[in-house]
Amino acid sequence: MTATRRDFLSGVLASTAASALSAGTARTASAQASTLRVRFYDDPAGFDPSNIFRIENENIAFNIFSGLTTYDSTSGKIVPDLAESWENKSNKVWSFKLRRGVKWQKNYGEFTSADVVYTYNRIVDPKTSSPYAAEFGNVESVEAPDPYTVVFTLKTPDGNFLHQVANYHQGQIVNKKAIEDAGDRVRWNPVGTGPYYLDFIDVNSRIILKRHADYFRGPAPIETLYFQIIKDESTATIALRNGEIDLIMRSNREENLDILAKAGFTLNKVDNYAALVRVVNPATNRALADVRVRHALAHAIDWEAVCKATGAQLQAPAHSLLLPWMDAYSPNVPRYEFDQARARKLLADAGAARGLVVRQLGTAAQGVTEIQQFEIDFLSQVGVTMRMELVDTPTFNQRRNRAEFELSSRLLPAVNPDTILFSYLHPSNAAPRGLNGARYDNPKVTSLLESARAEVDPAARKAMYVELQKIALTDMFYQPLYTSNVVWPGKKNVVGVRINYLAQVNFHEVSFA
Amino acid sequence: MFAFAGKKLIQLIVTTIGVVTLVFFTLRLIPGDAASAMAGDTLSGEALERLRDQMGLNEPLMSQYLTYWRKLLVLDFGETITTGLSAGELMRAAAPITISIALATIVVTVLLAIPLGTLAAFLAHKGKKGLDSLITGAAMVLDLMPSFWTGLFFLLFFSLTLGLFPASGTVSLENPGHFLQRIALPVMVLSVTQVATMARITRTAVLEVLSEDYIRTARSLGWSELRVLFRHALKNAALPIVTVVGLSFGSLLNGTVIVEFIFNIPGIGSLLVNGINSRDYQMVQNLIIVYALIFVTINFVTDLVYRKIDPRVSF
Amino acid sequence: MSMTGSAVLFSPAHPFPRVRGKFMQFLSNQKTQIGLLILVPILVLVVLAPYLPLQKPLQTNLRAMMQWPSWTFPFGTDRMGRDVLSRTLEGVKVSLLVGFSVAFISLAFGVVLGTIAGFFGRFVDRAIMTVVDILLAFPSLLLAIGLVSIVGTGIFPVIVAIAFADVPRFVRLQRSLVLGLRTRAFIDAARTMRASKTWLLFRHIVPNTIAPLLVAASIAAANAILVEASLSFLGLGIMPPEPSLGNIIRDGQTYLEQAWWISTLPGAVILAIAISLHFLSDGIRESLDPRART
Repeated sequence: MTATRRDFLSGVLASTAASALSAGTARTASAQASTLRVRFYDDPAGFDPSNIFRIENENIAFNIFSGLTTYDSTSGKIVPDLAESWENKSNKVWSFKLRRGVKWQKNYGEFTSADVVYTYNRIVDPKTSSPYAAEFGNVESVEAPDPYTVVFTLKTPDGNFLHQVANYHQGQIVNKKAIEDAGDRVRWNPVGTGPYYLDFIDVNSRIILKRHADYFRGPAPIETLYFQIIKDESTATIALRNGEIDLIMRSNREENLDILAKAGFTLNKVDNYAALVRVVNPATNRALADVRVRHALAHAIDWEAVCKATGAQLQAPAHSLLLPWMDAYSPNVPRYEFDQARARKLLADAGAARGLVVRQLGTAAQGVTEIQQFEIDFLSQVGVTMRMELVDTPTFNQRRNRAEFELSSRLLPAVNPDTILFSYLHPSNAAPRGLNGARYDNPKVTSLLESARAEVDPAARKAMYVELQKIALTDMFYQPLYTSNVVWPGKKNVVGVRINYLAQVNFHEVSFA
Repeated sequence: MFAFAGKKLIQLIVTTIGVVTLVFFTLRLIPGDAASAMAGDTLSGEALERLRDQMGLNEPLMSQYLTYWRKLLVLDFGETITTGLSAGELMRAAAPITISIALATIVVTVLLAIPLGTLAAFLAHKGKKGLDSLITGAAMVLDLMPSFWTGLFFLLFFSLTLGLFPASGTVSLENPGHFLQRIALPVMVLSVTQVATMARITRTAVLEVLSEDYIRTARSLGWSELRVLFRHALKNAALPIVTVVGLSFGSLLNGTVIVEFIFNIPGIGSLLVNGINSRDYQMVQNLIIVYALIFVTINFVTDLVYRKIDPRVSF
Repeated sequence: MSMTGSAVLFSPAHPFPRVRGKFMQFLSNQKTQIGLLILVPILVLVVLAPYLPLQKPLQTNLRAMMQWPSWTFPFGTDRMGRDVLSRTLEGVKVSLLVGFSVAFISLAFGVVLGTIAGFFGRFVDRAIMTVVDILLAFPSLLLAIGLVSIVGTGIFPVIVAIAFADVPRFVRLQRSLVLGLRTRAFIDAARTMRASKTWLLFRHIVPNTIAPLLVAASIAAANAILVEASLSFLGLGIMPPEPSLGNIIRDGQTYLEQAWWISTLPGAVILAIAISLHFLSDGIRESLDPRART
């Protein structure tokens, strides 16, 4: 039995198999103050920044790696990380001064500019087939004039470039030697410069991170992060109440939050983490080409009530494609209050008073969500029949990417407002090339998008963003439905759990009270 | 005996080949192949095509089939979609957990069901209808309770209200104490159904034996009731009971999928449900085959044991 | 589940007498009556559901969320303010549809293939039984899970998936019954009188297999209902918002502490249906096979 076990472990993590085995047995026992036990909610899928996906994996990588920049956990503002400072010429040439004396985890030596160049070349290398390669599509060259300076030259000016090199996905800096040593197991052998390093992983049950003693901001307060895979929400809730774990990574059922709040646990929370957007595709349903019909859809549903019913702590109605904490956000956009009389009138004016049928694309795996059931109910009250077209997940992805739907929805977590607006509204991203599934192509918006990106003056840039939000929310091919919140319930004595706007927690800030 | 075993073994091999073939070709009928499932919504057409090449999905079907066999014979189950880890290693880690749960359930079941069933038979034989129907009735109700439903109540009651068993935590044979604590609830839930079934079979079998002539003879010789019951009746009722233990293994495997899901146990049932949810057909294919092999092997052993007990048996 | 167990209990050497004329005996059987006593009221409620003053199964109600069972909502409401009773009845409809369809499909295929295998023997028999053995190598729920992952979710795929797992069991049962009957003396007698094979088959063999098949079918129906509920519970069967007893229980699972009724009551209904079907199967057996009364 032990032999099999050992084989398995060594397979998972060749380099640390021996130490891992002892770590595994020693730690299952009980809670020491220096171990934080956190619920992890799905099978880990690996931590290679070039192809990492899903928020829970990103949360691990966020604590292992660093970017040139990172996000302040509370304000969401860009702050220095591996880069101490930076400057740019007309948003086109960006140069970064790097921190000195930063140590890689697991004795991989000192971090230098060569690592940055290697990392970004690796992302765009077709052999890596990174889904994030396009994020650097605008980069003309990356150079390292000396070990502590990196210079990016862009093809076209981009005032939001600092987001691209943040501690997220493609922005996370990797070590060449570590990548080569890991061979084809890169995603299970992450080596970064962040506050924690990966000590052990059993993909079936747990992930153990250990404090990186040489972390450049000083060692983290908690020595060990023990991520326990618990998929079921109720089980996770029971485990927290029983004291088996200290913190739940994302609890997404209102009733569990109620129970936990009542039982005296802290609900660590970030509001407005991302907006779910309904994508309206006029090409497949002519009625939807009429702006009055699109407005009617927005007026017909009482999002206030729906959000309250399905989880007052977990979501709130959205009125914009951007989120209130983004610098480009503007509250001065058309709002569509719940007004069924108005919806009916708009439909009548559009000649669709009776019998309008719209189809919403969804996955069979998810089925019709509770919120969609409310949507169906509300829409039927104004004479719109919303039918769900449920297909299997690969077909869903394919059809959504090719714009073969009447209505569908998207959630695009991003900190960079430009990412959201460009992806949805720019014709170069029209399906099937990008996320613009409505094939939205408004020349005014297109030119605003391009000039805003290039604009050096922040105030002027903001003005352009405000303007284009107004137009987009009048056209309403992208209809903001609701924003979701992320809640990490935890024990009272676990403090400093600040969830950022990418739904991540920097464990360097977390400690026991 | 050897001829019999040989014949059964050939049957086992034929079945195995059939199982693999059937599973392989059926899974190729799925809309959207494994590559597009793996790509999710992030990979574009070109990258997808490259992935297909990598996964060998552009090969002719027959050659894919032969490749699959070649790999299977050296126990190479490929890699999982989401983790890229060896599927074989994952299954090797998960299988002992599921098998432990199944075996523990069988032990608990035999220990509880045989005395209960015998008691019921004895009561029935003695004409104590009330008590007998109480036991049989209870057995029927327990047997038919959906295990996922009972599981929920057990979790809430034993784990939360009484705090007896942890709801989460590593399930690893390296730490036997904790391991037992974690599998206790799943075993209890599964045993409920199994005990009921087996107690019923035991009752029927023992009751039949109790009305045979030689029992009457034994009784008339003045032997004690207990001796008659356990030495003779039960011994002669062993055959159907053994068969049922073997046969119930299938339903036991069914049950493990459910309890692993409810109690968050990383056995092969969890791998299966995850595989389906992440559209990892390669993994689903492997697991269905592994389940079938376990089941077929158990049936094979049951056949042999049965034959050993009763040499008249021929299939 | 109990399917395999019960199949074993039939000894093909002692076939049942004919069905004809036994119906009254079946009805007057005590176990039949218990079964009907449970099943009939449920059936009546399901049929009458659209005419009862109940909220529609899919109707949400923001003003009546998570309400205790009351006169208006006898089974209470769930978090979306939907009527649990009306959903349960809709779920029962689905369950019964699945149960009876599976039983019928298994029975039909089982009788045809099993009779062919048992009666004609030789090559046909070997071919059919090889396939049957292969299919029997899969535990039934697992085969259904595997199939559902291919054919997708929904009522029809679920019926197909469960029936697929049950057919081989029926084929095997029917074949063993036919084999037993073929060698029976009365058949030999008929044969010496130069009766045609077809006549033998339809006059003597098939009718004698009906009773045990019916017993097995009613248990298969109960089993199918439980399997469907399990599949839906795992999220692989019938998807919300279409109610199925399994997915109602799954939905209510997280509210067990605050709103026990959402999961508990539909669970009790599944149990009641399964029990009634088992009583009915006992009823069939006892009324058609006098020996079976133990």
